[in-house]
Formats: sequence, structure tokens, C-alpha cells
Amino acid sequence: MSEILKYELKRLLFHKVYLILCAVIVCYSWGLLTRDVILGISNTAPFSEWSFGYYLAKISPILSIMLLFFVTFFYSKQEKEIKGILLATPTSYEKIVTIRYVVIAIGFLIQSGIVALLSFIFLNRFFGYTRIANFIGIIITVLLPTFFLFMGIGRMMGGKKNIVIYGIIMMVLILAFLSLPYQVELFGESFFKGYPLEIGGIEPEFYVPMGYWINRICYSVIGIGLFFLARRKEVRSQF
Amino acid sequence: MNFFGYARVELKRILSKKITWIVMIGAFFSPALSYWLNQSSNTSSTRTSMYLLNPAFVGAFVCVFLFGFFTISEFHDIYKNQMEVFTDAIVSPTIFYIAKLFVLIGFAILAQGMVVLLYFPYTKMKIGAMFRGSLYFEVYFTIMFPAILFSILFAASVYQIVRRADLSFLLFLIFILISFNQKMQQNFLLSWIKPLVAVLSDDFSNKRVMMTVYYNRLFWLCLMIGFCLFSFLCIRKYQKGIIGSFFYHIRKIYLPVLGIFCFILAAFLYQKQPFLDHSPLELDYENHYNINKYNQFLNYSKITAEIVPDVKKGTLQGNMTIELKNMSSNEQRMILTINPGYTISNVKANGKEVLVVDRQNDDFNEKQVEITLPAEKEILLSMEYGGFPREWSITETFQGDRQISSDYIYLDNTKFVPYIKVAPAINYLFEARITLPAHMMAVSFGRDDFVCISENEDGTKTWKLQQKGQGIIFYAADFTSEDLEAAGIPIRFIYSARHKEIMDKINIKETIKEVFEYCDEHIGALSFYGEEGMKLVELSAYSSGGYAGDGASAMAETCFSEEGLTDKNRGASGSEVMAHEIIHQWWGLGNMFMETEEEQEWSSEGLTVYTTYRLMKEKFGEEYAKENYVDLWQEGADKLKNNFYHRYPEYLEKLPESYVALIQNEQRPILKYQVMPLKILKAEQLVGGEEAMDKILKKLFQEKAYSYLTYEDFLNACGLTREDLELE
Ligand SMILES: [Zn+2]
Repeated sequence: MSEILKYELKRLLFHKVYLILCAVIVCYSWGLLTRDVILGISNTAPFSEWSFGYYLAKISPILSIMLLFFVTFFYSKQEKEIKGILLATPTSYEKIVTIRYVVIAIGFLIQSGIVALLSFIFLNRFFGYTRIANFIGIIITVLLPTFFLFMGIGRMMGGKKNIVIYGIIMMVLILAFLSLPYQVELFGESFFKGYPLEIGGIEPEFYVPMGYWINRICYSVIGIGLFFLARRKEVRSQF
Repeated sequence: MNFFGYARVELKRILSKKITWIVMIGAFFSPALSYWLNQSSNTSSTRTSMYLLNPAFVGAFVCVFLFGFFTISEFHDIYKNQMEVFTDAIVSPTIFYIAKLFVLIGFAILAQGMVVLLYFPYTKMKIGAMFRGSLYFEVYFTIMFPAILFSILFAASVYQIVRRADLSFLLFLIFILISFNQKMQQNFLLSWIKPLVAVLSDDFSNKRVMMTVYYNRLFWLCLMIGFCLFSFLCIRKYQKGIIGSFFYHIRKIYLPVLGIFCFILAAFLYQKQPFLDHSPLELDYENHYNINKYNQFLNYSKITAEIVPDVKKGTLQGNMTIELKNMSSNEQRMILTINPGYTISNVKANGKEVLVVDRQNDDFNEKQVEITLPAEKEILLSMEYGGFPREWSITETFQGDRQISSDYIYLDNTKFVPYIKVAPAINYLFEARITLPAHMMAVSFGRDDFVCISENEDGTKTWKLQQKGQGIIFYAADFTSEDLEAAGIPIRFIYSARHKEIMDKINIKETIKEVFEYCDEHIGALSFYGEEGMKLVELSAYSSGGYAGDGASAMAETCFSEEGLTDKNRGASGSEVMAHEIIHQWWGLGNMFMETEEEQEWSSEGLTVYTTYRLMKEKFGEEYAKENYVDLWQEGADKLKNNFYHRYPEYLEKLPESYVALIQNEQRPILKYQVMPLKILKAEQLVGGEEAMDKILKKLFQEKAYSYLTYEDFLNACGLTREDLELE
């Protein structure tokens, strides 16, 4: 089991698409930090929870696109052939799929780690800020629901042509450009930018309203739901 | 099968697919998205911008994605289905590639044609009398269509090189992402999706800005064709890999040669762009004022310039003669500043050629030319100058203001006549003659006027201006002029004939009179106008806002928009900008303001904004004035007060310098336009109300006429201290 995991992980992490995306994310993150975050989002400190959340929200469309690319990679033709070979080995199909999604999750985790690390380096170098633990909750609330959602969508659409996934990627980009109210938005930009102004005052304390919690929970539930729905379908089509 | 045969087969195949129709429908509706996005359409924009430029931008943006995606999926469809083997046998892969490209471009033309035809009536209706059909087609076919074309060429080439859908799609997205990078977007040559057109004028020509768009398109066409030719080298041959195919194709030597030629041409276009000068972006005022020292041994008694603009090419040719006196007995060097786009030639002193050195040291949109004058007492210096006026490099994102075109000419100072760094003699005169197409009227910004002195046989008119001093701001357009009188001052109101209908409709004369009468009554009479009165000039939208000077105020066309002047409920814009610019005749001209580092907030803007507020309060009521002025000032003051760096200046010191400048540039206008008026309002409450304030301002206006009015003066007149006016 761990052999397959290692093999799959290596294949994904050294894949061309993954490496290019890594480079893009690093450049984009640094640009974002030194151009937007440095000014302090909505009059808060550049090292406030609001500014940090805004930064993650701006990155998260690209992270989601990366996730979808992983899924297409998983379902591409070449990969299907390898699946055939793997099926010949005693490992069950169910297990292989599980391993694949674990691999995707690890890839995503590493990428998120890089994004967070960059911001910590930035905050430390420019502001001498070190209390990083404050941000872990934000990382989870911003990135996890989108992670679930795109895993779900990816698995749902995975069996279909890649074209469909590319279509979804374009939708993600368009969604990122529209600024929807925080109760329904996907990435969190409106929340982190708009809510501190709504609270008003100087340097408002970080606070997450019910509406945003519900938003995050809904997207997570939809994502997980889609994921397992897709699994049931796949298992059924096996027999 | 030949090319056409194959193209026909391809066309049939594409037409039968669902995605083709989805892309076509998407392309068709894309410009309409801008109507939906711009619902809060602001009155400070022109109609042509709102109903023509923005739809073309949004259309380009959406279609770049649609067609890039379509191209990759189309190519992938063929190669993925292993049709390669099968097509290779009946048609050469190169011909297949070309046919495929042509079919895709054909679709783009079809989609664009549909958009252009079907949006025409709506656009025409919305823009109304100012609609120009030629501009309509020009905008769609230079802004939206090339963006689609480049997207197709790029996507196809990338696919041909990497031959994988996911990788090409990713590279395509990265290319788009890079294109939205700030640096790319603020460079007029690199921004290919959204060319740098900040605004399109309703009333005047847009020729200059459209020239940059054409140039941008040419530059990208070279790049994209070069890239595409390179991709031809990668067309897989006989089941060979990319390297094998590359060496197979490179034997056709014309492909790489042509490709490299395209790249070189692009690099040449980039290097040699004629639109912007090379002034450094950092402004060194000290150096600028010190470097231009006047030569004390010289003075001039008369300057004569004859200017002939070429309205087709956008260039100008001029002759200048200067009567100089050399008070030393040596050779003297004279500095002349001129627009960096111009060259000086045929320089003669008393008929003999002299040494001329063009220093090519662009700064502040000028360069210096050094002329060595002979050791003679009386010198008659003559020269020719001319070229294409270059705009200042710092105005890259807002080009199009200064231009020479068949219905609008706007040239200031060294773009009109070279400026000599020599003091005038006791009796001196500056005389300019300019020959213009008959329909244009020449106007100068200042007390003196251009007079038509002859109507020539070739359908042109010659205009003459005589004034003291060299500085000149020149406009020419299809102007109409009307005389009116307000508060005892004769006013010549000069505006575009194309705007006449709207001017009458919004009853502009009444609005102007109102402003003058209000200021006359509440601040005091303007004393520095002679018999000739003052001028009000309408400029193109490229001069955002406006400016005021001695004897004249100039305002952009957006100040006279129907939307801004008829709708009371709209924000502070349109007529209010106009009022603001007129009020500067009281604050900023009669009374001077010096800007200092310590007291950045004190400038002519504070009192001007405050007076505008008072006028609007009288006109539209307290509620309106509070909502559109006081609340906005408060918002600005709050924003500043809450700003992180304002609260903790110690962090500002830790930042690299470029960030400090960025943050300070953002704060400066807030200080001038929002914080100061709020302080004056506070002073008004402290001195006992509006009437008391009016009295103080009246007194200040009279006492400080023709001298500097400092913040100190203002505080003393109010009997207040700095601390009293600090905002909490
Ligand atoms: Zn002003």
C-alpha cells in the first residue's frame, strides 16, 4: 500500500503541470503580498487576520484550478491505461482510488503550505511578525471548504471529457472576478475585505459572523456530498 | 486533397459541433455584459466610453477566453482521436494546420461581424448626436477583434508545440495571468487584451489614442505571427517526435527566417515607439529648475513663429525667428527647450549656419537644444522645427490628450513653439501664426486671442496671435463661441459645435451665471479682468477635470454632460466639476497658494471645494450638500485616520522607499480635497456660522489678492489655532 502511495506521489509531484503551477503560485503570492497585502486590507494592519484571510482568498482560485488539474490528470487516457495494469495486481480498485485521492490531498496540502510559508516569510521580513498560530483557523476556514467542493466536483465530472473540467476552470476564474456578497461567495474575498468595514472602527477584532460560517459549511457539505455520490456511481459502474 | 477542399471539410465538421455554437453565442452576448456590469454608470465618463469602449473591452476579455479554449479543444479533438495517421495520408499536416487556423479565424470574423452589425443600432441610439459610425467600426475592429485573433494564434501555436491539451490550456491561462499583471497592463505596447484607452471623447477627435492602439496591434501581430511560424517547425512529421520534426521542417529555411524577421520587427517597434518620450519617471524638481538657467548676456525683443500642422499625419512644421541682443562681446550659448518628438534644423544666425547640439536629455516632457550664437550685437536667429509631438512618459496610461488631428488640436508650450531660455528686453513681443483647415477655430488659453488674418485659396485659414511672453496653450477645433455676461464680467464661452444641442438643452449659460454670481456675492468681485473678460473653454475628455489660469478656465467635456447637469440626484460630478473649475478663478489665481512639505493639506483645493459645497447647498439644499460633500469628506478623513500607516508611522519607516511613495501618493489627494474642506467647515462652525465665514473669506480675498495666502493667514483671520481645527 505504502509503495503505491509513494510511487503515485512521486509521479504527481514531479509532473510538469504541477511544477509549472507551483512556480505560478509562488510568483502570484509574492506579488499579492508586496502589492496589496502590504498596504493593509480595509485599513487593518498588514499582519491582521483580515489581511491574511484576504490573501488566502485571492490565492484560492488558483489552488482550486490546481486541484481540478490533478483530477483531470487522474482521469486522462494515459492514466486509464495504467489503471488497467494496476487492476491486474491484487490491490483492489477501491484502494487505488483512495490512494489517488490521498495523493491529491497531499499535493494540495504541500501547495497550501508553500502559500502560507511565503506569507510568514513576508510578515517576518517586513514587519517582524511571528505569531503565526493565529492564522491556522483562517487557513482551515478559507481553504478546506473549497478543497472539499472541488474534490467533489472533480470526481463528479472526472469520468467525463477533460473539456468539461476546463469549462469548470473558466467558471472558477469568472467567479473569482465577480464580487458576490460574503454569504454566498466561494473564495472569501468579499468577506475579508468588506466585513471589517462593516464592523467599522479602528482595527476591528477578527470575528466570523454566522452567515460566513453557514457559507463555509454549506460548501463543505456540498463538496463531500458530491464526492461520495460520485464514488457510489463509480463503484456501481464497476460491476 | 487541397487546401480549400480541406478547409471545406473542416468547416462542415466544426459547424456540426455543439461547442462551436456555444462559443458563438457567448461571443455574441459578451459586449452586452458591460451594460450589466456598469449599471452604476458614472457621469464622469463619456457616452462613447460607456456604450462603445466598455462593451468592446468586455467583449475582448470574454472572447479571449472563449476562443483560446475553443482553439485548444478543436486541435485536441483531431489529434486525440488518432486522426493524425489518417489525415497525414490524405493531406499534409502543414496544410491541415493552416486550414484549421483559417477556419478558426473565419469563425472569429463571423462572430465579430455579428456583434458589430447587431450592436450598431443600440449603440447609435445610446450615444445620440455624438455617434460616429467610423469610430464605432474602428473600435470594434482594433480593440476586440485583434484580441480574439491573438488568442487563437497563441493557443494554436502552443498546442502545436506541446501537443497536449492540459499543458497548452495551462500555458494559455498563465499567459492570460501574466497579461493581467500590473506592469503589462500599464504598458501601452504590452497590454494586448485591454489596450490603454482610458476614455473616448464624444465631442472631439480620438485619433491620437487610436494611433497607439494600431501600433499596439501591429506590435502583437508581429510577435504572434513570429510565434506561429515557430510552431510550424514543430508540426509532427511521419510520427516523429518534436525534435525530429523540428529538424525536418527547419530545412525549409524561409520559415525560421520569416519568424525571426517578425520578432526583430516587433523588437524594433517596441524600441522605436514614437508616442512617449524618455523622461525619467522619478521627478526631480530641483534639478529641473536649476538646469534651465537663463543666459544673462542675452535678451530677446521679438519672437515670430509660423506653424503649419499636418492634420493627417498628426505632425507639425514650424519656422521661428528670434530677434536677440548679445550684450557681451563673446560667443554665447543659448538653451532652447522643445518637445522630445521634434527636431530642429536649418538654424541660422544672421544668415550663417551655427553650431546646434541636441542634448536628447528628455525630462519633464522636454529636451534641451544648445545653440552657439556668434559674438555679434544684434542677432536674427532663424530655425525650422517640427515632428510628431511626444507625450510625457508618466502619462502612459492616459494618452491622447495632446494631439494634432483634423478636428482637434491641443498643444501646449514646447509642443507648440520652442521655448528659449533668454529673458525678454524691455519692449518685447511674441507673435504666432498658424494655418488651419477652414472649419477649425484657433483659441489660446490666456488673455490674448487668435485673430483670423486671411482665408487662403487652398481652403485653409491663417490665424495670428500677439502676446507678451512665450508660454502658450493652444487649442483648435470645430468650436462655437458665445458671449455672455455674469456678475459684470464678460465671458466668452467656447465649446464644441457637436455639443451645442446638449448645451442648449441643459441651459448651460444659466449654470455658469449662477456660479459667477454666487462667488461675486459671497467672496468678492474678480478684479483682474480687463475689458476683454475671461474665456471658458471646453476640452476633450482626455483632460480629466480641468484647469484654470489667468483670464481663462478650461474644462473637460465631461463637465458638460447631460447626465451630470440634469440629474440632481447624481453624485458630485458634471456641473459641479465645472463650478469647481470656475471657482478656482477666485481661489488659486487671485489668491496664490504655496504648497509646502509640512502643510500638504493647505492648497487652493481646500477653499475651492468648500465654496463649491456652499454653492451646491444653496442650490440643492442641505441634505444634498451633506450627502455629496460633507459625508464624503468625512469618509476620506476616516479612511486616512484609520489607515494603518497613518496610525503607526513607525512601520512606514521599515518599508522600502518605493512603498512609502506609493502610500503617500495615495494620501495626498485625500488631505487636499477631503481633510482640508472638513477643517474649513469646522472653522465655519467655530467662528459662528456661514455668514461669519463669508465675511472672513471676503476679507482674506481682498487683502491677499496677488500675494500668498497661507494656512497661518487663514487661521489668524478666523482667530483660531491649528489645534482647534484638528479633527477628532
Ligand atoms: Zn481644483
